[in-house]
Amino acid sequence: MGKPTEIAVISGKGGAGKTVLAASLAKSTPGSVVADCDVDTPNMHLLLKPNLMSEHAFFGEKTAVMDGELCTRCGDCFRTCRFGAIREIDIPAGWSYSVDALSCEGCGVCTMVCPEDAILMKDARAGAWCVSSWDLGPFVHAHLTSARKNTETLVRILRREASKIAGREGRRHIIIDGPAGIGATVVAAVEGVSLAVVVTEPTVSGINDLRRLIRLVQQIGIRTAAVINKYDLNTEVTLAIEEYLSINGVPLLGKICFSTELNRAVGAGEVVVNAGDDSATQALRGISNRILGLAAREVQT
Amino acid sequence: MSTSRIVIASGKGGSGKTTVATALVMTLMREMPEVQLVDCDVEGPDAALFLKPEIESSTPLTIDFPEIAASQCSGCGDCQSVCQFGGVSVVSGVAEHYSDLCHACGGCSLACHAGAITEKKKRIGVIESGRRENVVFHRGVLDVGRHMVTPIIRGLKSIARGDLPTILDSGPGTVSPVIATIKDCDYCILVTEPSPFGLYDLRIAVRLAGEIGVPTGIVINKDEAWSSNIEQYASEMDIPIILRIPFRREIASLCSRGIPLTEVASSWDEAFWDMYARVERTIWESRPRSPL
Repeated sequence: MGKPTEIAVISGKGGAGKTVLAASLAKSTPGSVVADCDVDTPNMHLLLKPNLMSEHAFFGEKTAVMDGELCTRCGDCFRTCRFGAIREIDIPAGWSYSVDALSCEGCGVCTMVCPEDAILMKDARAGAWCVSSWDLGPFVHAHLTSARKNTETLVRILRREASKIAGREGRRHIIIDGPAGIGATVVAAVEGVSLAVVVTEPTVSGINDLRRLIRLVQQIGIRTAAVINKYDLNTEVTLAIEEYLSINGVPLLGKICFSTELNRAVGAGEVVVNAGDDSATQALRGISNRILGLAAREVQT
Repeated sequence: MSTSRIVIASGKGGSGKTTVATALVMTLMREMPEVQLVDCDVEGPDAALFLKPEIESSTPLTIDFPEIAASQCSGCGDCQSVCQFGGVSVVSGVAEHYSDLCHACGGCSLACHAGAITEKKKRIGVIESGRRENVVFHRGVLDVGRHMVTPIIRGLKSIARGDLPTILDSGPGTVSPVIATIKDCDYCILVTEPSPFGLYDLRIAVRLAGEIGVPTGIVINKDEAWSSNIEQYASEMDIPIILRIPFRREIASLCSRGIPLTEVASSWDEAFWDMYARVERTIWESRPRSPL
């Protein structure tokens, strides 16, 4: 059996409608493995309503911790830390250097330069990744508790687990809800996928962010297609987006109108694609089918 | 004159951070001699689309990345052992560098005793500065394909003036770049939408603001019937709701064109000024701040 078809839903601009589209796709592919790779602010579970089956601690990168009593205030750590994570604090004996955990990158360079061994790298539990199941199949997701750095590692764990489950259970699709932006977590969410679907909105911010995201995915070399959400909000920008997509060889798979009905349904936690006759839901249905068709062709070639 | 630093953040992307940040700046520019806007959403900086400043300078930001001289490499693997990110690996007896995973910490070059690793400055983005009338504007733009975001934010904060009332427009979510943006600010305005997604993400953002130790207030954008979920949460957490912007298609449509909210109706100027006055009161009632 070949590799499963992996489809990632991404957007440059936040709030364009990734999660709603990803959930619709999931509903259109019963039996697929679903992965919520927006590990910072995961929302898929609010629509899929999964049952948790197993939870696994995620430690992420370590955090440096300074023993103030051993610190001789030589300043070597302060000078070598490139992340501004070393600062001065008051201690009973006067002052000491200390590590600001929120800024600590976890690189360990301070421990390398400290002549007094006053700094140790400690494991910090950053959250958990979970294997759950929802009505139509397995669902992998995660949440962070703190230490919100280098979350691309967590995304790669989720991708790996989704692939393992797909391989073990013979599942043909993996649907990935990706994070917004163009950073490392987005790269981790789209690397190696059969198709990246970019959701955009017709706003000046939306088209700005779209251009940057398309450049990124084309740099990585991922097959891409696009969907315009709330297209009737601004027909001028919609046209500009359509032109941009055409010039850059990105197929437009559909446009969804600005829909209070869809908003209401999502607000009520419903995955709407199967039911509903309003044009937004119909558009979603058509788009989901086109995405699956395109991704299947991509896997074959 | 106030030199407060007010950051606009949110858990949920697309809640309206830039809408609120730019509207606030445009209100303040009418009332104050000078005001500063720093766009820290370096992956997707959009504030200039609304403020429309004239960009006067554009400076590439470079950081040191390792460069491995294969001929000097002994294949000892010390670099690989110290790297926490998988950025360096010994393959067939020679160390190789993977810039996608590299965090540019300097660890591998420190660890190398063979002198095989030097450092070379590489561009990760650009810091731009400009003006619109009495608004000083700075933004950072990440180069597409680069992933080191926090150094750009720190660079932005180091060039921002410390003598002006400052509004910072953060990126979405609660990851490192957002932490770097919110740190050392005097107040964090959290913009939310009333959907279940909005509330879920708001909780995460509130927790982060609490960890950083900055006072917060909530702005409900796209406010409508089901906002009671946000109201209930805000009440439980004792966080004030400092502004409400209704869900109106007309507002969405104007935003889509890059028209700031305060140009829609003068009543928005008043609403933002009242919000600002409330924020300032809270800041002055709170603890003293550390340097930018």
